[in-house]
Amino acid sequence: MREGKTILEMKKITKSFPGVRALKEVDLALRAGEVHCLVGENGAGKSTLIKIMTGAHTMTSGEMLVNGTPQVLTSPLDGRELGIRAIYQELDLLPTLSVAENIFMEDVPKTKLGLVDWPKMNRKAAELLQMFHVEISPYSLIRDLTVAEQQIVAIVKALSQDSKVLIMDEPSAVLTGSELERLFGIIAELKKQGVAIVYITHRLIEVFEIGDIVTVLRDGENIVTKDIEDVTMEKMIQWMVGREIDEQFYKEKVAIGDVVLEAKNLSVEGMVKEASFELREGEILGLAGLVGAGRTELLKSIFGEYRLNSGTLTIFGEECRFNSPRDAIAKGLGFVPEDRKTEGAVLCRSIEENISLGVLAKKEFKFLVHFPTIFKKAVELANYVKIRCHSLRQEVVTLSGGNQQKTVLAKWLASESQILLLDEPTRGIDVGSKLEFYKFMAELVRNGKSIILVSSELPELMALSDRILVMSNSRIRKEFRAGEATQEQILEHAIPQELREAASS
Amino acid sequence: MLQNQIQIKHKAGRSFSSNIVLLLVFAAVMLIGALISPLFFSVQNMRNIIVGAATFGILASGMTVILIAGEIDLSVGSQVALTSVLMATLAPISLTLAIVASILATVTIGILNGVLLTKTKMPSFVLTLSTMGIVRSIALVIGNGQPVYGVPRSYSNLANTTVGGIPLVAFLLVAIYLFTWFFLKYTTLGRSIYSVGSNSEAARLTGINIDRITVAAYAISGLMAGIAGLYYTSYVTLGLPDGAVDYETEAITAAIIGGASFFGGEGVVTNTLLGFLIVAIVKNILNLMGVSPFVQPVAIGLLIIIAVGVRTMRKS
Amino acid sequence: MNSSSTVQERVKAKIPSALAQNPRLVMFVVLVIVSTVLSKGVFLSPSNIHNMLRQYATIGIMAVGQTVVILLAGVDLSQGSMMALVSMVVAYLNVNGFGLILPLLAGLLVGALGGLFSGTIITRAKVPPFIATLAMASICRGLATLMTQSRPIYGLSKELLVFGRDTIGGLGIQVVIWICVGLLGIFLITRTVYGRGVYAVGGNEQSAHLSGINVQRVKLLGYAFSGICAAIAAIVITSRMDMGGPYVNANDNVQSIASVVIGGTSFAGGRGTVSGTILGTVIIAMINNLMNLMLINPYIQQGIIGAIIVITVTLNHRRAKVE
Repeated sequence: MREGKTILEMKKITKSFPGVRALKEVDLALRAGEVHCLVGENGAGKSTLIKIMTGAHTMTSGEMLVNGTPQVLTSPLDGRELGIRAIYQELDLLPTLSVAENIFMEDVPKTKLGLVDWPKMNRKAAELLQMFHVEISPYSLIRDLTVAEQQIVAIVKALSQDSKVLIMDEPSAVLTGSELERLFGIIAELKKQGVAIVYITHRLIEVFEIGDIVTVLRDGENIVTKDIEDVTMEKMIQWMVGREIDEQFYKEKVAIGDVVLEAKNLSVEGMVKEASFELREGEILGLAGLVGAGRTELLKSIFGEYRLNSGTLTIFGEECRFNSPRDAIAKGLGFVPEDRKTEGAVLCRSIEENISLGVLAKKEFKFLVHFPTIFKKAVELANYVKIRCHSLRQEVVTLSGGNQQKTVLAKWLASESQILLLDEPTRGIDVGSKLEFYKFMAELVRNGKSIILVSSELPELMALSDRILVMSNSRIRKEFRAGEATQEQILEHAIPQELREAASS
Repeated sequence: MLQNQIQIKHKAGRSFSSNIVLLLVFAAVMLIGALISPLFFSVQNMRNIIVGAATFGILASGMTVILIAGEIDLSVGSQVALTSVLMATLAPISLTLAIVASILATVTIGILNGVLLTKTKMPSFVLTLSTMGIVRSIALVIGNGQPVYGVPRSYSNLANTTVGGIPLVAFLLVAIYLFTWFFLKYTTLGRSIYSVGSNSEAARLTGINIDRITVAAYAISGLMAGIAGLYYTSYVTLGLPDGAVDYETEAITAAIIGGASFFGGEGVVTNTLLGFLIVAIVKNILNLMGVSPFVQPVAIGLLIIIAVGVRTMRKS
Repeated sequence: MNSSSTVQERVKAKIPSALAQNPRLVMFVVLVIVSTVLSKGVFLSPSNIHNMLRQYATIGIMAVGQTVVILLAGVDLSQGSMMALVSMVVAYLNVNGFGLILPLLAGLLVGALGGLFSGTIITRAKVPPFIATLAMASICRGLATLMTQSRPIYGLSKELLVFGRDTIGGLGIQVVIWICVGLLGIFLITRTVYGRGVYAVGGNEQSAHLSGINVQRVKLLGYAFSGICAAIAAIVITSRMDMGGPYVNANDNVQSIASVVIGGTSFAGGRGTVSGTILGTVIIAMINNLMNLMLINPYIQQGIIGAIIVITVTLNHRRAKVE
């Protein structure tokens, strides 16, 4: 296996974005007929790396050799020219067109007259689909297919061209058991044909099933590249999470009070399954889990964005049924969404207006308010959360990520929310702002508020939370008290049950 | 065996069933027509339907192309008026010159629409609403706000000419729909229009020049508006600078009933033909019933809402 | 940063940036100078200005409603047709002996209901605004012509003519109405909870929803307001023309949108002001007035409006890109 010809070699690849270094001198070599697994936590730099491979991003420094020749890619088209293709999670398919057309999007079979040769296209598409034993009609429209079927079409499309390097970005996130097996069959077939495959996954067990070699990325660095025979699950997890905790956290000891929120068997179709837990006054409750484990969904169903199918939610001793976020806000809840640009802030409006929305949300049926009072309150809160700006009339879009996040938080302080649901609140903000944010959270709980915190950064979650709930596959799997669990233990529960069983057998 | 079943299931997906619905609606309006009046199925009436509605039938085929590209063109009605004025003004000099000048004018307007749209990135309805006014104003200036007489009798007779009992324009319509169907289905440009409308980012990543495709779609819309204008001139027998008002609405209605979507990437021109016939027949039925012609715009408006509404409901 | 400095800076920043960020103010000043010079001062005569404002009051009134809808990232293409329908309803009821008040109320009601109808189609059936209002335009136009088989209604009662003809303290009543509707619009958008909702929904619908705003209601009321503005404009024009007119001037709707665009409101929603729109209407009035003074073919004039929209949006786009 090791003697496969090196197709693509990356040397000391560094990529900087304004303010962050996403990759630091990463080396990577891909050989023909080899499945190279790429693992790491969110933000470890996996997607940046593959974007550089395909040409979607250009590297800041370093060198990339394809078949021994240095190449500079400036667009995905360049990558395709060289036979490097990626199948992303957000599919680049044409939803209103047929499967056959999507497969041959780039290289349409034509007749001698230069016209689209439909019979040939459909026949070839059917052949390709058959080759991979998939029962998808070439005539179906993409949007009528399931996500898994779409993923398969994307793979078949990539294979229909002459691909030398095929990058699969978390295919298992959307594929189910039998579909995944079929994919592994396809991968085995591709190996025989001498394609170099990069396989990115959060399900570590898959690394052992199909990988030949594994690279662990952490904080934009290549921690280790090893043959799969020399790796165990435990070691891999250690490499992934074993960062020295050089970050500063801030946590105060706060007296925990009565139960303010109690969830019993909360279920939302396809998103949350029988979630039960309680939250107390002055408590920070951490929610751990991998991407897609259902953490955001749980927050949104508490916040009234998703309608509960069953279960009860009791807030301040009163059973609640929320029809919309409006109801939840009236009950004293506030939600800081993961994506502040699309869900959190109204970017094209001023800081003051964004903050005031929290006050106004509660005055839904009032037409008139005394705006100077509201403005004064916004000024107070902006100072309180220390938003750095020239003026409160400034549009939120002009602020840095950290200050945008503070604006969203100030909105919920304006509405006097007692229970705050924070979804990845520190993602993408600089270290200084993070520390400020931590201190701020401590102050909130000291003042009797309660927080549910979702974070993919385990050290952060462990340092701040009083208790941690671990989720996987839409369920709460385990509860830990502060200081009770190690990162490895948490991660072990975050990996779906059936995969753990498979790993131990 | 199993595979065959699955294939059939997929093939008979949504697009297939909506074709059936469209045919059923078409059959239903035909049936209603027959029940309303014995005159409905008369040769003369059928001829009237086609001759009267052909202008917006031609526009509808161009509108389908624009909708597939994910845009809209509100300026086609004004383009028809401009063509009729140009024809009436230039035909006395030379009919060929008049035809060439008219088509050149509308294709140029189409190209300008496309270029402005891709350069300014403004919503297409705003841009074409503006060009609608500009083109109308050019027509009014050339015609000095008055009808222009001067269309040769031989030319204006064309609209009423029949071949073997079938109006000449029916052949023109068939030719145009065949052309558009063929263009959209079999040419690379046609498929690229679908790709851009379906997912412009994905289309860009395959190396398609999105701007150029958009311009091409508008050029085709302009071409169709020009052809529609040529027929319109013959039909009304003069140049009408304030004619063909709101024809774009009817063209849009036909395309939408035929299944084209405002979100792009969708639409089949043969279905637009059915949509056009449905609209034309509904209007004809209203006429036969002796309903005031002023009800027609109301019917058109309701048809748009029903067509889009039903489709949205089916999706969710 | 502290609160006192923000307030001070706010005031200081306001004056110079107002000029830099308001190309329409520059446009306005240039137009005043050019018009005055070309007309040898006739332009500045009170009677010329007054006539101009009277003539454009209907556009100005419609544009106020249009602003709210465009701020919501929508558009109302049915205003022109709504105006014809309301004109007919008011005139019909007036000549058939229902007096003054009832026809006016009925007119406003038709405008509001029409707007609510468009709004419902947009929010419930998720039809894109320009299509829903295009359909609505067709419906209103049909209904307007249907009422009398496309004949105008003459013989309105004297008291109905007040709105287009009389003056209060030297100002034409329609100008006063325009000012009132404009002030109402400014008040609604800048001084009420509803206005904040409009900006938030237009700026980012999902964020607004997650902040507890009733997005559907904000949109519905926006289209209703646009319909009411069209109805008020219809009352003024009915009164001025002394008849109920079923004809739709397609250009009215374009000019209403042009006012909003020149006024600096973005089609993406969430950015813009009613005061800008009012200035936008005044600018359009001045351009047309200038063209009249220069004896430019009136048929060119509606084309010019279209060109102005294209140029303004293009310039706004350029500026946004530079920033």
